[in-house]
Amino acid sequence: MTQQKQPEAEVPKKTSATKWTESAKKVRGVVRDMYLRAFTEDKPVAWVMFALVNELFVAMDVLPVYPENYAGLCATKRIGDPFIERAEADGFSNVTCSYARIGLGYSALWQDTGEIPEFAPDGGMAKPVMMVGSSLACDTRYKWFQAFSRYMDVPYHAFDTPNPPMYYASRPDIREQYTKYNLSQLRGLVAFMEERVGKKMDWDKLDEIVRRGEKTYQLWYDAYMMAGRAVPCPFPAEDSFNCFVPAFFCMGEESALDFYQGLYDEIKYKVDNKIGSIPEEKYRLLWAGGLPPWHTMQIFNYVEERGAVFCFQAVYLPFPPADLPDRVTDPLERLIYGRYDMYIRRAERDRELGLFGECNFVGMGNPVYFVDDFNVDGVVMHWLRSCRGTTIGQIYSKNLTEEYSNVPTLFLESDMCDVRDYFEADWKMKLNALFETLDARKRAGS
Amino acid sequence: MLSEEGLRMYFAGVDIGSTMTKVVIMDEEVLASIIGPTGAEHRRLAYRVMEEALERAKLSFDEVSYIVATGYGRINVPFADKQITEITCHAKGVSSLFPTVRVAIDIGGQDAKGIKISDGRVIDFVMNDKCAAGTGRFLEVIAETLGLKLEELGETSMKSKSKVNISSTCTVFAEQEVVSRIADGADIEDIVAGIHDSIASRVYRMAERLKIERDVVITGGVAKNIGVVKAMEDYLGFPVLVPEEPLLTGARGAASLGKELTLKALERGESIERGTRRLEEATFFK
Repeated sequence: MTQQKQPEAEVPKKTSATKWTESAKKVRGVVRDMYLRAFTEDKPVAWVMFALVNELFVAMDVLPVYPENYAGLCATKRIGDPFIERAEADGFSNVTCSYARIGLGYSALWQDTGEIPEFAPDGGMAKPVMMVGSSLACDTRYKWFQAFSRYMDVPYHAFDTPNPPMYYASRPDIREQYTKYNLSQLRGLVAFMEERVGKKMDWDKLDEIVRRGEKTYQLWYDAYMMAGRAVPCPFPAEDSFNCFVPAFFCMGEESALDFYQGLYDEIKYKVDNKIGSIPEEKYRLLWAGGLPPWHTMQIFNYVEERGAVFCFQAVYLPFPPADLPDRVTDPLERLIYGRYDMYIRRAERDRELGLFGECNFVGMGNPVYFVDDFNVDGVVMHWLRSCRGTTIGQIYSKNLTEEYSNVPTLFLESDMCDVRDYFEADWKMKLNALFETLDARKRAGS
Repeated sequence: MLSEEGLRMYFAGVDIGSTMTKVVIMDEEVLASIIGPTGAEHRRLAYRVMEEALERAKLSFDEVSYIVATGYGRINVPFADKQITEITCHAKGVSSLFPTVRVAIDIGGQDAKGIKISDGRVIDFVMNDKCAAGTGRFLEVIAETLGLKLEELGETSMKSKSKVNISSTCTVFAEQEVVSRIADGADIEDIVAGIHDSIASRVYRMAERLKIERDVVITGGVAKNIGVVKAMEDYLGFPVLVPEEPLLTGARGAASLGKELTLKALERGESIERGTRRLEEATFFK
C-alpha cells in the first residue's frame, strides 16, 4: 500500500493570506500530514467526500483523503489549471464543480501515465482501496466519486444522507423515520468498509471516537462564536477558513480535539485582552455566502489594509451542537442525532426571526443570524460559477439582510478553485466601492 | 469657491473607462469637458486628454486645486490627487444633475452597473457579471455584423414593427443568431430592436436586485442609443432620465467630489492632501 512519493513542482508566487492566529498557522502542517501519512503509514486509504462521518474511518483505521480539500490546496497554490483542463478535455463541463474537476483531472492524469502527476502538491493523493461518496450538500457528489472510481478502478460506495423537511423536523415521527433511514445508510457504509479492509468495526472504539468528536465539535462551535462576537476581531475569516480543516477532515482524532482546545484558548486569550487582528477596525464585514476564493485568499489581507475585517464567515461553520440524551447510546445514532438537531435548531431560529421557507442551502449561515449579533457593517457574498449549492439563494439572503438589518450587500464573482473566473481589478474596484458606500452611510449617520 | 489665498479654485475629474476617457473641469459649473477614446496608447497618455481639457478651460495645470481619477484606469493617473471608484463618482455626478434620482443605471463599453442613491450618496450597487452581453461592446459587435454604424442603431430600431427575439446570454451566440436571422430574411430594424431588448432585459434583471425606485437615470455611452433607452423604459414601466451628455457623469462626479473634499478640508482648517501631481504618461511596468 505504500507508494513512491513524487517530487513537487515549483510553486508559483504566494497568493494565500497572511494568518493572524497561531492556530491558523498550524493548519498547513495538518494538511501536509494528511496527505503524507497516506503514503507513509501502512494503512488502507479511502478517498472520501466530506459527509460528517470521518469518525467511521478513524475507528476502522482507514486513512481518509478528501479530494475536495486537495482541490482547495491546488487552488491555493495556483496549480489547479492543469487538472481542470485535463478534466474538461474529457468532457466535464466548465461549470461542473471545480473541486470535482481538479480531482477528476488528477485521476485522469494518473490514468494517463500510471503515476501521480509530478506537479501535484504535497506529493499527491495516495491511491485508495475504496471511494466513498455521499449525497450531503449537493448533487454532484454521487457522480463525482463514481467517475473517480472508474478512472482509478477502485470500488465505490455512495450513501444517502438527505435533509429532513426542516420546518417539520421537530415532529417525532419524522425524526424516527429519518434516523431509521440514515442508520441503514451508515450501516451499509460500515459493511462496505469492513469488506474492503477485511476487518470488523470495533463499536466500543467508535463510541469513544464519536464522543471525542462531540467534545471537539463543541470547542469548535464555542471558539467560532466567541470570535465572531468579539470586538476587535481576533480571528478573521481567512483564519476561520483555515481552521475548519481539522473539524471537517480529522474529526474524531485526538489531534483535532487538541487543535480546537488550542484554538479556543488562543481566541479566549485574545478576546480577554482585546487583541484584534488589525490596529483600527473601521468596518466589520460578514462573508455570508459562497465558498472562499482559495486561489486568492490574499484578498482578505487587501481588505484589512483598508481598515476592514471579515469578522466572521458563515460558510464553513459549526451549528449549535446537539444536546445528546443519555438514552442515545448507539454511536451511529449519536452521529445522526447531532446532524438532525442542526435542522431543528435552524428552524427554531428562523421562527424566532419570523422567517419561513428560507431557501438557502442548510450548510450556509443565513446572514441575518449574524449581522446584529456580530456588529456587522456590510455583507459580502461570493457567486461561484461552479457551485450551485452555495450560490443559489444568495439574492434571497441579500433581500432578507436588507429587510432585517439595513446593511449593504456586495456580490463578488469568481469560483472557489477555477482562477480563470477571477478578475482581480473588478474585485478590488467593488470592494473599494463598498468601503466608499460604508463611508457615505457613516457620514449620513445611517 | 476661493482658496485661503483668495484665488479662484478649480477641480477636475478624470474618468478612464474601458472604452472612453473623459475629463471635466469645473468651478461652480462645468468649464470644459472632453471625451476621447481609451486605447492602449491613450491609457498611457491620459495626461494629453487632461492637457486638452485645460486648454479648453484656459487654465494651467497648477491652477487646478484638486484632481480625482475614476474608472477602471484610475490607478494609473499620475497627475491625480485621489482615486475614487466609478460607483461613487457616477452617483455624485447624476445627483448633481438630477437631485431626485434614486437609481442610476450606467451602461458602459465593457460593463454595466446599477447604483442606488439616497441624498446623493451610494447606498447600494450591483455590477454585471463577467460577460460582454448587456454592455456597449455587445452593440459594437452587432453593429459590425449588420454593417451599421454604432450611432445608427438607435434610430434604426425605432422603425421596427415586430422585434426579433435574440438570446441575451452571450455576445458570440447572439452574433451567430443575428447572422442566422439575416439569412432567414428578418428586417434589420426588427433585429436591432431585438438586440436592444436583449441588452435591456439583461441590464434590467441586474438592476432589479436594487429594488428599483423612481427616478431612474441611464448614463454611459449606451444611453445615447434611443432604442436601448426605450427598451429599458418598457421593462421599468416608466420614463427614465438621460443626461444631455451621458458619458460625462462619472468625470463630473469625480470633479464634484474633489470640490467637496477640498471644501471640507478648508472648513476644518486642514491642508488639502494632494498626490504627487505629475502631468506625465502612466507607467504600467516597473
